Amino acid sequence: MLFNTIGFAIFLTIVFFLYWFVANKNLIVQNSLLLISSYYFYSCWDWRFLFLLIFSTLLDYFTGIKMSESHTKVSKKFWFWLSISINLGFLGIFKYYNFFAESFTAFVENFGLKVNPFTLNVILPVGISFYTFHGLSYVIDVYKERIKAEKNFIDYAVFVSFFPLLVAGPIERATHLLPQIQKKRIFVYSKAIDGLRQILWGLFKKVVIADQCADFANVFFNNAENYAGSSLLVGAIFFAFQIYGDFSGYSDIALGTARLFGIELLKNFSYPYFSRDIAEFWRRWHISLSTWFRDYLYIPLGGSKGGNWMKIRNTFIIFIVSGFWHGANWTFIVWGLLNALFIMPSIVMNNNRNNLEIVAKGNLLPSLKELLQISFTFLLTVFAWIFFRSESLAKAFQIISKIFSNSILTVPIFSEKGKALMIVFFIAVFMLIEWMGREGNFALERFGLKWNKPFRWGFYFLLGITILLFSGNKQQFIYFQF
Amino acid sequence: MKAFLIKTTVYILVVGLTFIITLSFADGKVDQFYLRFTGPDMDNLIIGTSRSAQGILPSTLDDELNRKFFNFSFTIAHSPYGPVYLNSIKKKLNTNAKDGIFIVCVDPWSISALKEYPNDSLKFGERSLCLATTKEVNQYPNFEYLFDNLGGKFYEIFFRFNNELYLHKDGWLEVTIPMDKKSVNDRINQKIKDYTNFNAAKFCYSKLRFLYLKKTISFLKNHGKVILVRLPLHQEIFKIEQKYMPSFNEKITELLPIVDSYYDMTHENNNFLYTDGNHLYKESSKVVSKKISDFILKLDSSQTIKANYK
Repeated sequence: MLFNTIGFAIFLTIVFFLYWFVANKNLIVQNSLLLISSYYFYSCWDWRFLFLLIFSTLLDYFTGIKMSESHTKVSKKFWFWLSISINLGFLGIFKYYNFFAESFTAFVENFGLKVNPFTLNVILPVGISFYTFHGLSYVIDVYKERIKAEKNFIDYAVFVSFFPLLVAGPIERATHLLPQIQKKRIFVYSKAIDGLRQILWGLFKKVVIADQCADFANVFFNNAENYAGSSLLVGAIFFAFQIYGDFSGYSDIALGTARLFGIELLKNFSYPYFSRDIAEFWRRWHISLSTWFRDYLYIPLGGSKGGNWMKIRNTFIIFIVSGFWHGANWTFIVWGLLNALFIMPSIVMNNNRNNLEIVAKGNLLPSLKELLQISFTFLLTVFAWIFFRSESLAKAFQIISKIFSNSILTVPIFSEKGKALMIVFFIAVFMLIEWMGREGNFALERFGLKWNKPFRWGFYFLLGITILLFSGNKQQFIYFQF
Repeated sequence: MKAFLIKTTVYILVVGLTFIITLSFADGKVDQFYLRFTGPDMDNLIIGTSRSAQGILPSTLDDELNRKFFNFSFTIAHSPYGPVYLNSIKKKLNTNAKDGIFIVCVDPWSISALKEYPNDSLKFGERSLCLATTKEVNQYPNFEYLFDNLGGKFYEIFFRFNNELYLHKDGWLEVTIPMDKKSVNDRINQKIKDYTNFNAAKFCYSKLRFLYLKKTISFLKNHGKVILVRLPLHQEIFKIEQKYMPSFNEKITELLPIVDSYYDMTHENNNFLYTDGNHLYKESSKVVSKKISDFILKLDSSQTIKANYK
């Protein structure tokens, strides 16, 4: 059940009405409704993997309780490592086993040995990386005694499985989400309207920007051998907007949907393409994953304590692990590595926290220097996206070698020029609205609020009709595969 | 909550209704099939693949034969003879019609299927395409068709970037592409390659499709006259077809007892212009349509039913 389908709209309407009109008297009933709806939502993808989700939830729930009841360190450690190893074990089997088996075979073959790898013919359970990371953060927090183990199974299960975030995040923290689940929610008109606006904006990003850019990006990336460097560069830029529209669009819909139920989720994107350096980009892109790695990997590894060498080592580790988290392919690892390299100068020079505020705050336009910084950072990310999008390293290098050849000076070729120009127009409108609204939590939070009512509603109407005119593409969200 | 529900409902209704109204503007520019799924049941049909979709103008037949024709031809992928096409024809035909005229176009490809499964209708590719998935073929606007086939590009109702194809209300597909010698030769050469390397290599005669051609003819015979037509095509592609299915004419002979006549136009291949060797250029389509109507007129006047192929 995709967020941008009529099926989801019907599902959401039914759950909304039951939640506020039938189950609103009792928190247990309300949470049970959320849990049942979330499990139904998940089973629409593949009901068989629902058992895996339930097992993972039960595992972390019980190990959490066992850890909190442990009187000895050994026992606590035992339950902790049991949960960690089973969680990572599932992730390893479903997501990485084939990658390791095939990589090992390729490595051994370099020495002239022939090995037939035993590969598993398994499909990746949707959202496994996301709900496993939910569970891991909870177990680590309980182990570190940052939070108490949750005794109420329904509350804990809702924390793991709440349907807006179940399949592609944001990756929540028990410290942030569980208290909201345990507390009675009250319908607040302004929040609900805000939620709808965020859903509308998310749908625009997904349906109008991402899905349309995908058509072009796919053509260029899938037939790289037939295109000149200039066309491939345009293809990579289309992909940059595709992935941003796709993933941040998903996050906006998730956050907006949760807000309809009186729940605030963690912000996942904050105008990353307006970043002035890569460090800022990573504070604005997939924030819930970046902060997860910061809190549960970078800091435990020593963080920036221990001087530059430790900082460099730990930065490389989290970026490589982050790349690997995205998928079992060398392309993701190189993507992570590249980002580590990009960020390294600011880490070494200790100026990675220079740009904490949004660019040109309070101003209409950025300065020329800021504009150049934004453009340069954007081009760096586009370069890295080539690895992210390519099927293999060889393909990525083929694209890059063409981009850095004389063919970059040719005029890009499009099979549908008119459509390409239309998409460029929509990207321009999209970025303009994002720029105007960049000081809000999402672009439409404040955009147009000061307009006359007819203008504002006219704008929302235009947005809605545009979404419908571009709808029906049935393209999955990119991050579902992770 | 009340204000929230009222505002949301009004917004959804206004946007939704506007969208629905927008869809009703879909016309022959929107894609090459849509209008064939709209409009009423028809008494006189042109049946076949893209050759007849582009090659026979109902308007020419209408003028000559004084009746209303509808071109219900699609493409070789969508409408080779088989259960899917027959079912759709049954829906498109006015079942009360008793004296209709049905032009059934034939060629070796429309009675062929993939070599792996030549006679397994469950493996026929058209099962997943619009002719199979669109239950209603007589609705205007046909929302079912639009939602199933125009997803992701409803905006093309207003902004169409490719003006090469225009589907007329009577089902004729008008193709407007450069007809200079080089462009035409390039397309013909590409088509020859495709037919040699793909079609002839991967397809074979299908007994089941032939059976369905027979069933289609038998069904149409209950509602009027059936004229089999083999449309002209570029001589080079014709040669490929002859080589691919040398027994084609014998197979057609089997059908002669159940049809009213057979008009084999491949003897006149060199008299017409083609966009790509496989499809007639629109000016030639007009001439061919006129010839077909003359042929039918002659049949009517002589009241004799004979095959004219050699």
